[in-house]
Amino acid sequence: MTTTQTWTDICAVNDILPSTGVCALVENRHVAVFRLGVDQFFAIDNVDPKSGASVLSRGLIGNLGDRTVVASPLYKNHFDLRTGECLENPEQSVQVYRVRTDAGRVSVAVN
Amino acid sequence: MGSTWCRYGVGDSVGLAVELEHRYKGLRSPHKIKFGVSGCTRECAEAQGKDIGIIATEKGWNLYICGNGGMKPRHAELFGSDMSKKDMVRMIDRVLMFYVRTADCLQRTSTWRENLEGGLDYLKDVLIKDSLGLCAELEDQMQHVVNTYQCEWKTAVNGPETRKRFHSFVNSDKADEHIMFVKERGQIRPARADERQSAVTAVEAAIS
Repeated sequence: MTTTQTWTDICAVNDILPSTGVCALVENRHVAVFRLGVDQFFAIDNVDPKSGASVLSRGLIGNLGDRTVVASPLYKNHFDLRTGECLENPEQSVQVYRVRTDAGRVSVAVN
Repeated sequence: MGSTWCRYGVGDSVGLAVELEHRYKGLRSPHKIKFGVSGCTRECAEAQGKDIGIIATEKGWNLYICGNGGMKPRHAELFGSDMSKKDMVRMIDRVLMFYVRTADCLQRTSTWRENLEGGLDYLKDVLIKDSLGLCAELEDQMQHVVNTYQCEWKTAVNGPETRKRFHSFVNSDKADEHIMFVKERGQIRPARADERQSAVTAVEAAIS
């Protein structure tokens, strides 16, 4: 049996400045959607487990070794954008979501 | 307090402090910069513990540089005595711009000065005697910073592109339900995790 993913359209590609993120409300979840360079997109939970604040989309994006991470603006804990893993404390990792672009629009699947 | 309020004050230290604040407020620098301006040698502004310290004298202003408080206190060093305001501002331009151009990222003026080969004498050679012929350039660069100052808050609030960033969600006008407040001493502050149950939103707090 195959499950079909429900994609939710959230914004235009150009609503996300390169190397920054936005927060989208998808099925009552706060999803941080990041744009790297021109056409690379990642989506993880926006809520930082350590502080309980919905802020990860506003963190700085960078590299630690060969991992692409976002640093939480509050306590600077890093999250791998590909896996959601919290580098400082794996128990406080977040979920990742699928994200895709089509005809200049960005959509996210949370199921 | 200076001559405006204090019987000991021999110069308008508050007026000068305001002027300096406005002159250097847009400067990008390797680390924060603290200023102190005292109206007399009793030093109520503790200017000799600041990056840039100024003390009023009977004849003008004394300039002290590269002081610091905190974990590694450092007494600022005298860099010029009884200067006119114009000369002193020009000297601060040089010192700050030389610091901006040569210090490491996140290096305060005190550690920059400690690590500077040749120490204070070298700094005096370069910035007072102009031994490297840099002074005019440093002054020009600072003047450029001053002339091109813009209030970044105003730019952000007036720019539609930056204003977009003030919304909680890119795809909804709803408010972020995580932002909750409790009242303390007649004001609101963000609720801690264990207080969320009894907390209210900012809007609720404003009308209650």
